[in-house]
Amino acid sequence: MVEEKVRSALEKAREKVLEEKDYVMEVVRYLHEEFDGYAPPEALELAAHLLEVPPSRLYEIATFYSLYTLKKEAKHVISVCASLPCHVAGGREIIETLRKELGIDFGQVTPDGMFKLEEVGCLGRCDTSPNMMIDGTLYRNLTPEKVVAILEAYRKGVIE
Amino acid sequence: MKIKVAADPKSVLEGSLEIANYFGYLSGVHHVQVDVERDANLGSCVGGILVDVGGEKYRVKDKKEAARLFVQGVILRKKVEDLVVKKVLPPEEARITQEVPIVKRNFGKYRDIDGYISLGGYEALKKALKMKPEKVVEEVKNSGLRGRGGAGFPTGLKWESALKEKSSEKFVVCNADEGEPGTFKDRVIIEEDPHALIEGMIISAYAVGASKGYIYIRGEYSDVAENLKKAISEAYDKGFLGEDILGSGFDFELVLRFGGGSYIAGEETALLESIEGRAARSRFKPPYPTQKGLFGKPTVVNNVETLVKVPWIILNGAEQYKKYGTESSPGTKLFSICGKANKRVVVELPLGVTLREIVYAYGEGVYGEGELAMVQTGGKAGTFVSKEKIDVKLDFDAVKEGVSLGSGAIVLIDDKSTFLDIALNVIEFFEHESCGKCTPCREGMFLMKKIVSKMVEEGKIDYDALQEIERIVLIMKDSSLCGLGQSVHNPMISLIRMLERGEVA
Repeated sequence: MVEEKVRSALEKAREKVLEEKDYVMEVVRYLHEEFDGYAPPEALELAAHLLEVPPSRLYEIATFYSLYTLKKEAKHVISVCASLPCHVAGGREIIETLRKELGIDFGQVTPDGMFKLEEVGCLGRCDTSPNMMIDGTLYRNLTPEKVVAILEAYRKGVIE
Repeated sequence: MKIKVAADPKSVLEGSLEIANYFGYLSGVHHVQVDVERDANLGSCVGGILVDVGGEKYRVKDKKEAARLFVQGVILRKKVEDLVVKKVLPPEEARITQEVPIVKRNFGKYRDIDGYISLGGYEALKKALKMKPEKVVEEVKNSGLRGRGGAGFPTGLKWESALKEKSSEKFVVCNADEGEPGTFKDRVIIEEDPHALIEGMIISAYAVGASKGYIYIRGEYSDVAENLKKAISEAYDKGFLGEDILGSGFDFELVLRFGGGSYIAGEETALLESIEGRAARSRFKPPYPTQKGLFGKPTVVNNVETLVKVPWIILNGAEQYKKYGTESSPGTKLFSICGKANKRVVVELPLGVTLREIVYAYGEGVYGEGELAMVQTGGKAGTFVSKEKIDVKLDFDAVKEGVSLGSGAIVLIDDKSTFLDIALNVIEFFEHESCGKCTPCREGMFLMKKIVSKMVEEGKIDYDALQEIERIVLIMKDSSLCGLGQSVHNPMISLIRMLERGEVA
């Protein structure tokens, strides 16, 4: 099962290669796709073995970059923009609402394992701030009311 | 009920569109239906904005007065005696710089490569392939084009230095890792005109003698990247990419690579590390990427906006490009207007445009109850500019007056934001994004966060501690490895100066 996914990630990452090992980052990206949001250590190690690179190389990528992670800590990951353009345009209130509604702070997971809350630098959608992303889906022009409704939709499974 | 707001150029530059937007906001808040009209022929007045409510002419100085006029004049339909204007003057002319669509030339005009070709797409490539690479470099050099990612390095010089390198292999890389907060212009370019970017890259590769290229796009733009992927495959199908392009004997392979969510990956050497499959940590310079870049080979790294300008320059010539902008900063620049702005858009204006024009004519001032307090220009590592300095001309020289152009981010901030609120936001961002490789940056951020967090907790500003922050950012400026640590003094010092002048609380 793991091996299948790793081989599939490798194949996709190798779709177009210009230089030897120019696709190492892509491997980690596709592992996240295969494993639905994370790259488990055993998959990283197998991928490193198949790539003929030290496992530390893939671990470094999976831990350095904010979109990548070694374990699935929650069903949904909320990445809310904490940067100034969002912050001054109502982002402050969005973050307050998220903290209050979820009862957790940045980097924490709700007790039911439903949500993890993360702050991100800038999502590059400052024309529709405040913004947040849940599992890669973008939510723009947020208001506290919208945030409450969106969380409710995830809780009820209306959005998977 | 009809409200007319003066919209002659002079009134616009004094913030009349902000007032017009505010009336719209108030009508929403009070659930009162009003028709707000912007009238360029209404006239003007001294010391405020001319407003006509039901035929009566008023002068409003600020939003407080506008709100009073709305409640008394519009809702209660009374005459507001003290706001009645004494003397109505004719509409007044003023210079408002108009948009020049060079980068935006094809926005909204095509859907696929055939559409792009029918607009004259890939003609610049055909022209360039008939020129000697040296000539292409010379044309770009003569245009005075400077990098649009933030640093403003002359593009032609960068290309020339790569062209001169003797190497069996060279690379061109497009930096589409747009992570500078308040900047979204490159995303809009990729959405609207991906082929101009590809054409610019092929020309740059031909000019410097590279046969391979990468577009490094941030992972957060994976939806946007679909458009680029499609465009690249179209360009391959039509023979603009691949072997023997248009029968010229020139080969060029182009591939897309994704970032993993890291601000510092936008720094060019960190970006190269990332393509090589490592953490995005900056390299020591020299050697510069043009000497020893990707996989140790000469490499040119250019921003999206820079590359999109190249086909235009090749087709229209350097002289034509230099007709716009200023002597030190020729051409146009995309500005991403955001934050508390009424209109959050990307505009393309000749350099030398004033901040006032961008803020009031294009951004239409700040939304809601607050008044404009300051603008952050150039990105998170850019400068805070107070309302008093809003007449500054924006170009690469503005930095001498303490205003950075950077990536063209224009973040409007209203007076609801306090010094501590902004300072903590800035520091938390950089502390989060510092890669940790060099000590001054890693420890400096940590220290500053501690200092400011303490002030936030105590709810008061400690001026001695601010001196300590100034000391830290200056040490970081002198001793950090890359632009991240080196430029934190921009926002911090400009913000502290505003506090000292009483321009922020």
